[in-house]
Amino acid sequence: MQLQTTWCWLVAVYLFLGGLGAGSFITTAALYLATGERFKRTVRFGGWAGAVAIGLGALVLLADVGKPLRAVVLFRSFVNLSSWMARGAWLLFAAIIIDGLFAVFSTEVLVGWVARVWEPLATRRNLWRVILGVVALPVNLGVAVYTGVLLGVLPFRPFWHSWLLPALFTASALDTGVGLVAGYVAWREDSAYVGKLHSALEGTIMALVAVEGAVLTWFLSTMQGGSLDAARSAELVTAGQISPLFWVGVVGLGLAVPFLVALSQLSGVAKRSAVIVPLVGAASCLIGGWMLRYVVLTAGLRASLSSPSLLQILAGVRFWP
Amino acid sequence: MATQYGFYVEVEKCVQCHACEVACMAKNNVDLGVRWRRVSSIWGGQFPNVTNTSISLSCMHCAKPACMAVCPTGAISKRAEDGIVVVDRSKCIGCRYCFFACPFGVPQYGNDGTMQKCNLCLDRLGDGKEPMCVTTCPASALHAGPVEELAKLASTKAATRLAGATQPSVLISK
Repeated sequence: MQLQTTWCWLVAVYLFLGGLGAGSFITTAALYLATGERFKRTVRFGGWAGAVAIGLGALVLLADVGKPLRAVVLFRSFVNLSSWMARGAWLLFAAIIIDGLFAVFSTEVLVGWVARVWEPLATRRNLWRVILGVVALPVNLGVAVYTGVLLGVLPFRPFWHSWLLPALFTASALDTGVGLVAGYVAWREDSAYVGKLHSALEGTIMALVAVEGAVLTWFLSTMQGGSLDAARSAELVTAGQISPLFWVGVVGLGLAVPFLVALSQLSGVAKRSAVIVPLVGAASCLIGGWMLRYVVLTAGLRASLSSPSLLQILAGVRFWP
Repeated sequence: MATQYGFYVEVEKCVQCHACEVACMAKNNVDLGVRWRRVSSIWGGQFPNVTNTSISLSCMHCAKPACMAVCPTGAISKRAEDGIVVVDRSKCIGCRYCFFACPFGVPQYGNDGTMQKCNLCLDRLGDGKEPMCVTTCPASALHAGPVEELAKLASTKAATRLAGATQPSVLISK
């Protein structure tokens, strides 16, 4: 039997889904609070996207731990609240509940069911959604930031140990979240104001891609100028074994393609009727987001497992007379 | 200061026979592939003046254990009476966060998925015996006990306590 000590790709999937869910819910809640009932379909979709993506992420995380059935009993397994994993578990739990409730109140069929149980709850649905949306914004932002903090607080993993990592993952979470919602808007939204919304989202994507690119550059150049292990990991990413994944996946699919697609939409180069273009942009953005988590995770693992961290600790001790 | 148990490793005595590792595995009945104690080989110098030193290390029972700080379930604790870092495997969920927090890669995971590591052979200590690795070492390169006593033992040689933010409770002869 293969004994597993490191985190595998499942954890990258979880970090990605947590960010995606949080990002799409933040987009949706902001949209709802700003425009109210104008974009019903998109608000419903975004609510569910948040709850389902974060919920799936939590399931993936459970699938990766050694004792899933023990871990799922949150109040027994996540009691050390100075641990970021425990804090994160509770954040995920809160986000799933709040996003889920928001989604329920955004879905006509389910509101009908709620009305049958307790009428006043359903009639004031819009008020609940405003309250849930306001509460959900910091909680979901917390989830997005936490996916980076989880790795960033580990002091002996030099490639992860930086506040720039949560910044990078948060930028990517917002980027993929807006990307997913923009893809849905292009595909299904039928509101009379869809053109305006579409343009606003594409503009946001361009801005977020620029921010993410800047943070990514900052992160990698900081690592390159950092400790030996950090520099080695950065080199692994930009010029080593996993550099194809980085340049094609993270930079190409995650940044360049969404940026160009958004530009084509705004400038009118691609016809608005060609739904396939924004859908490709959204898909590309999501793949890039996952690749980013995978590349960062892998680079941090490799460096620490192959690096002589023991030697560093023993520095100054002479072994041979 | 509270008593802190730890190890003293006389590196120049180690012959890299791995008997400590095997004794540890047998005594603690650990799964194949899990290593509570590890003999590492450290290469130095440049050809043709090359050196090879071996060192046997396990959990460092740090004064400030990084693993304990990040454990979400509180399964890892530090005993007040002797500073030994222990894990309650009935609480562990096997998330492996402690592995990434530990600067020495000490936490191990067996077939049941939970974390396991050196506990300084607590049961043997209770019987007034030494840990199995110490008893077994044919070169007497390993010693265990309160760090102050180990420091006295090591005072005949230039020995140093391992440096590090977590303050490992391990002395190494120079």
